[in-house]
Amino acid sequence: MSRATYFKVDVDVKMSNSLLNKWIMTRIKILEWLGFQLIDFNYVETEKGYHFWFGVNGNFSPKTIAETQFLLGDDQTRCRFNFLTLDAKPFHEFNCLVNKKL
Amino acid sequence: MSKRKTVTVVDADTGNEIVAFIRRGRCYMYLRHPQTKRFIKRLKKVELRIFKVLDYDVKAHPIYADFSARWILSCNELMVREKAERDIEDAIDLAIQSKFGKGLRDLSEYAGLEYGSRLIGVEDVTTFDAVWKHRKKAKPRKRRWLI
Repeated sequence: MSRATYFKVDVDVKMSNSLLNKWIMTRIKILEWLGFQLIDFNYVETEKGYHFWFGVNGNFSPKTIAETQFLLGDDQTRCRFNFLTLDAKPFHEFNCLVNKKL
Repeated sequence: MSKRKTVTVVDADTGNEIVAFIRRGRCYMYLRHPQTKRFIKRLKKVELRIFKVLDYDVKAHPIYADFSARWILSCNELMVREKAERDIEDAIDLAIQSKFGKGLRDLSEYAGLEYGSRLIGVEDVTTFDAVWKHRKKAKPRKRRWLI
């Protein structure tokens, strides 16, 4: 059985419950349109906004992960650095959602 | 009677909770769903990752670098996570100093740390990675109006 791949999305905007619900549903539609099969979903509220994890079936290349995170509305600075680290070897090490700021 | 201690951290890889507790003298570590609180699987080890950023934006020689260090923690080590977090801060500083010098170590800033249930690297005690490049300002493209 293949391991799920998680797309990590960082949003630095606080949303009301109804808007958050709409936001999540539109992300699920985007994933469906792109042909991914969603199998797990989690989110955590942070100081500035939210961290989202979308788990999909299958293993995907770092390029696909970086592009899909961008299409899902990830923080644009984070996307820029993700695209830069694509050229370097350790992409997964730097595709991080920092839980605790130092 | 001693108070039962439970450590809960967010798993940065899946968004679930990593929960560690001691029962009858043995340490247990599980991946738990944050809403339903159902245990998903038992964990033997977790990964503690720390990130530092160097953003040296001077005109002549701009440079950007990302540093990350990863430690593999057992259940007992996660129970005293404050100590592990302090130690890994010292370890990444030492690694940057030994590879790039004291100057870069002092210029870099802590970005943060996270815990992960999926071990990225080999099961080594300490691993260290760095991505860095000289920043180049991209020239704006010439606009072509196709009318």
